[in-house]
Amino acid sequence: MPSREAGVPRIGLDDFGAFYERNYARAFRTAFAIVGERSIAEDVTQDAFVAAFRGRDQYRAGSTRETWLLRIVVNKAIDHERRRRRITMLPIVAETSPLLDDDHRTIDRLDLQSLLGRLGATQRAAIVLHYLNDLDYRTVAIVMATSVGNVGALLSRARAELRRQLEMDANAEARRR
Amino acid sequence: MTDDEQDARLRQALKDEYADEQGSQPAWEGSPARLRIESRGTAGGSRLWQAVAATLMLVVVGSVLVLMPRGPMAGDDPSL
Repeated sequence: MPSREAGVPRIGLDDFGAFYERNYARAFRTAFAIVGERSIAEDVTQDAFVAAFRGRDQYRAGSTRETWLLRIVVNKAIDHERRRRRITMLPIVAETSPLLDDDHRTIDRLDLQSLLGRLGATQRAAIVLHYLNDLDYRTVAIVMATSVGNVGALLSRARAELRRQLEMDANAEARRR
Repeated sequence: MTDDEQDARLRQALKDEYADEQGSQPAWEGSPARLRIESRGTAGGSRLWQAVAATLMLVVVGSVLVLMPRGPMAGDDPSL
């Protein structure tokens, strides 16, 4: 006798292929922005889909299937980052900060990955979910299994840290000149 | 620059960076088995276990070589 509540949508075997096709790219982008390496992001994404497939009976209404999947992806990406225990910092690219100046230059790839790499994994995840995936605070809170207030605090600290890192880079560049 | 403007810059930078990223997507063939096969297993956990397995193998092979009895060799005193 299934323990699921009546009316709660589940992802059937037949649906899962379509669910996978529809959500792979977003899941990968999320993982990639958190872990910063393509091959690892692909592993994290695939592990997340395997976990989602095996745990598809545990999906409950109350969040969308996409939110549920993102939660698995983010948890796996954060777990990976915690295990990795980076002992070397990514190279600091000292360019005048496009997030601070007013000339509308675009931030380049190495700048952004370097900056994100200097945040903690949880802060990085909050930034990626809110700014890249356009999730509101409430949905970020559901994905990260925390409170809306904590999401606000995480994002606030992450933005402050990004600003601080950018200022340090700009100062380092000014000293070199 | 206001906080809103900084938020907009950060959002745009992230989208410029990652919006077109697709990843190498293995085909779905009805079960996760195919994903497992195609996964390269380069995640940190996999690498850790590979390193542990390689170290254990070296220890075992080294122990066998050290403890293995050897026959008489040139230069050995046959009276001993």
